[in-house]
Amino acid sequence: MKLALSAVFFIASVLMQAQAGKHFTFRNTPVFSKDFSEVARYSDFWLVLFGHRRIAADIVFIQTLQYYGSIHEDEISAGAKAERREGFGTGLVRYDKLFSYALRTARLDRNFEYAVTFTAAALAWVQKRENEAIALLTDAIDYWDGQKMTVPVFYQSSLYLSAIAVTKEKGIAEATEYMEKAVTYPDCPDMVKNILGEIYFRAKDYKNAVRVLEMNLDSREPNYRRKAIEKLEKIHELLISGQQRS
Amino acid sequence: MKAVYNVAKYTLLENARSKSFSLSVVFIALVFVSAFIFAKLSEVVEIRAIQDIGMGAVQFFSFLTALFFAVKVAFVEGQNKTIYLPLTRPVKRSEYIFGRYLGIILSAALEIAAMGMLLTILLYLKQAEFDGFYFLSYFFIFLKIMMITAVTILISLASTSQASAFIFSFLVWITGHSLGEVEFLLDEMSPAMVTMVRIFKWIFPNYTLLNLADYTAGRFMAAAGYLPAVLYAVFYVFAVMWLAAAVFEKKEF
Repeated sequence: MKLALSAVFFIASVLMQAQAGKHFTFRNTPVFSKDFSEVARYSDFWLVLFGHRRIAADIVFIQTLQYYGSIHEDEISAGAKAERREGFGTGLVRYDKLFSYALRTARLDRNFEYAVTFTAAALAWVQKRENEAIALLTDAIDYWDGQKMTVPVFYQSSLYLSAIAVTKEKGIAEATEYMEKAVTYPDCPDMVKNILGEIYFRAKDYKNAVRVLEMNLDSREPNYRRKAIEKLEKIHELLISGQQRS
Repeated sequence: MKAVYNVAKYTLLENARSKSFSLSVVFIALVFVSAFIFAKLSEVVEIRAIQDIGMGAVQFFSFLTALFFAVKVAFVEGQNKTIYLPLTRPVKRSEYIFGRYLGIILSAALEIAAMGMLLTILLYLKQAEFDGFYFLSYFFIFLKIMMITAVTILISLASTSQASAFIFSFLVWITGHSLGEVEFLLDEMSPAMVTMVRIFKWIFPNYTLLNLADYTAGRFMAAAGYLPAVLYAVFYVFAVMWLAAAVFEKKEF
């Protein structure tokens, strides 16, 4: 009797599994790929086996931030003028593995849009490697297009893709229209706000520069907070000296 | 039914007083506190990291405590002969095993609820936004624990040592999570291998369908799939537990 009951419930579980499987739209991507083999680690694999894909993606993204925030002797650009203490964003370090790290994070968790947009922005607007940024964003967007979702997903990635494509074709100053939309999102990286503020500053559009830079005054990143304060003070001085001359 | 309820009540009280239960609560609390090291990251990443690591800890420690209690009930009590006492009473063996199972999963539910509440408070203080998927994730963690507890009881009844019961249960937990990971390989596999993977999905708990905590954005399954997924877990538990009851009936202590 007990075995018969067990068999009945087993068949019911197989049927229900098949029914649930019909609605299961998500298909994970492999943990390992030759596209990012230089930064692949077995730790991802172990976390995934225990059902912690998101934790694995979080850890890899933090590793990416650590990589992007440190100076690597073997990746110093030839003829770089920047001082070592000035760190990233100065052209001192090439950060050759940044794309691989980003791809590893994105492939681990296909829902991690912040990791994709943050690294794409860094690749395109700081490291001047638009092609890699476009490849990263396309990888994420194509994946979700393939899932045929009923609701739009990864909208910000599409926005960044447009902005970076325009940057590549016409220069960064032409991409402000898309970057303006990007900074309205609460999870927009402070780096993007800093870049947009800098574009307006260079174009002598001080009103917009102040508006965007003020967003970074309460940034958690002391570097962006300092840059925003310094730039705002500079704008203030320029405006005062301009008024005195007139 | 009353006998099942009484055994479950006794098991729940016994587990709640257990040191391993309190120890797991302390461990999870420590994991939550360690989440504060992410405070230097941007808000998005900080909240995400606290939620993921917190939920991961809830799941892993619930799994460990359920594993410990299940092995204790089905194996250790037989070894120590303490099982003789309840079996001398007017309780059927199947009622005893179902009652014990119910007690363990009620302890797991309490543990998940307590730790989930702690994590939610922590995230609320960090001004995180919650959606239905976040709370549903805890329920799906509970379903996973229900399944692994039943499987561990069955394995423990068939095992000859405590260590092998732990190891096999761990392997089932890992296999359950990796079944979805081999999906993308199916196109490259031979038909025989594809059939084998399919049979594995029937026999082992298929956690891919229940791992909502790993897809908290809720983009992994259409809404119509949730009820079949829940029913799958429930039916699977009954299938395994009736089999465990049959094994327990025949077991000589």
